[in-house]
Amino acid sequence: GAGGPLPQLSWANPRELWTEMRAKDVCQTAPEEELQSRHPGILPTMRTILFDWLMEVCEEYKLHRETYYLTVDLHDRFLDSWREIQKEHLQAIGITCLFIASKIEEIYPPKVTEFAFVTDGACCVADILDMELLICKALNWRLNHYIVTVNTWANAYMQISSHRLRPPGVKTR
Amino acid sequence: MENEKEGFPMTALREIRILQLLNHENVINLVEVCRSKERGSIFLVFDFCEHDLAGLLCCEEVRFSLQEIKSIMQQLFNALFFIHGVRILNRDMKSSNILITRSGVLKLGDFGLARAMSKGQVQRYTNRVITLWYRPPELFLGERNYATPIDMWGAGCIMCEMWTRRPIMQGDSEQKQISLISNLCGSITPEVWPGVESLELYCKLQLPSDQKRRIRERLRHYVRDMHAIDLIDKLLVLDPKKRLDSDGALNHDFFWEDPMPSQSDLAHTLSKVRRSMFVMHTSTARPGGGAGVPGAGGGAVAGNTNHFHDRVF
Repeated sequence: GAGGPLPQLSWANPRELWTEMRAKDVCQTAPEEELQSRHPGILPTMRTILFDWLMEVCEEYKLHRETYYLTVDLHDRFLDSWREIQKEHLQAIGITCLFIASKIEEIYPPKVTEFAFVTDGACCVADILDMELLICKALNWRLNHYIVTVNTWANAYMQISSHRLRPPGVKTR
Repeated sequence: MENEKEGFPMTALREIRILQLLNHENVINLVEVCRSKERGSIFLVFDFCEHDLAGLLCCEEVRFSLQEIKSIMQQLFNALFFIHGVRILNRDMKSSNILITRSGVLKLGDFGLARAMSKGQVQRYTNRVITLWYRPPELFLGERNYATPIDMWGAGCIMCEMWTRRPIMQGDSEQKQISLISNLCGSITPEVWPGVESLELYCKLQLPSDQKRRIRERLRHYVRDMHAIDLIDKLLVLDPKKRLDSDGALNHDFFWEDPMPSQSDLAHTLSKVRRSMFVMHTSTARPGGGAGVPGAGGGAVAGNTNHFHDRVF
């Protein structure tokens, strides 16, 4: 319809939200092929292995799903802003993105020592803290502002479907 | 910032992002962010400013002419017009957060409590912000859906200080502060402020009744310029909906009648100030100047040896 597919929401203008979600989905990161040409030393399988491992860390520390997707977003945008990253640095980048995302998203984020611990000796606390500053600067401190993750989309679909099941006139929270 | 074992605290991440959005001549410019290797301390590096307003006002030798006061206030409202335009609230207005360079350029500093506003919807922001002496009445009454008028109240308090040289309402508790506000601006009632009765703490606080609004008569001893008094009167308005906004302030006759604001006069006056005037450096440092909320403010003020230690109102 004219207002976009989102139902009436008590917390936002559905039309504005829909427009912003679509705009941000388009401009957020470079396509996968471009990422690969920028970083010849990194294969798509390495990214997959890294994210599988980060998912395990999230399970271990009982982190929210949104934290994981924010991590993925930070990681991809960082690679997007950099050139020729070596595979040796990938784990440090990944765990640091998870460290930053936890601080943003979690009420009780794990300590930096706990993130260093799960790398099993690959990164120490100082590595993570150095990498944090590097990533923040590379992303121009745009860490959690207007990030649209797959979680945002999943929530939107849930709102639309739950609205369709409800009789008209009932407001969606 | 203090030693940060966990890297950047969330508050710093927020502050840095806000500072990066704010690109304006009258807002402090963030140059670089760094971390010391040994202790992990985080440093935000800003453009250098020689003075802060609180420090300058503490210094008796510094006398501002009306043109200079107009220039300072005009630059302050320019800063607020800009940040409010990009939907940022400063939430920590006070004279020690107003920096002034040697060449007379004002820079609004310290966005450690700042936040972005959301569009349109009812919000529940924390009301535990702003140094007590500069905190507007709506925050004491428990308003959480506040907006840009909270910064305009602080601007009004600061404007008074240009003549009084001291913060005008130095309460040492929330209850005392609300009494001082009522004493100056009149009783807080639904007549002057429709809807105030629905604020959470309206019935819980002891609000002085039968107080007359005395801003104009009290200020007459300090401020000769009628336009200045009129502008202050429109800023220190209890009802935030009726308080003048930054656009209204900039269009006020105060800035458009002779003598006109003069930044070059200000630069000339400041060129004669030899030392850097920061409130934390001056011997007459005031409570609440550098260190946030004045705790036991009253006693420290009385203990000062300078010539301005009397309470203004």
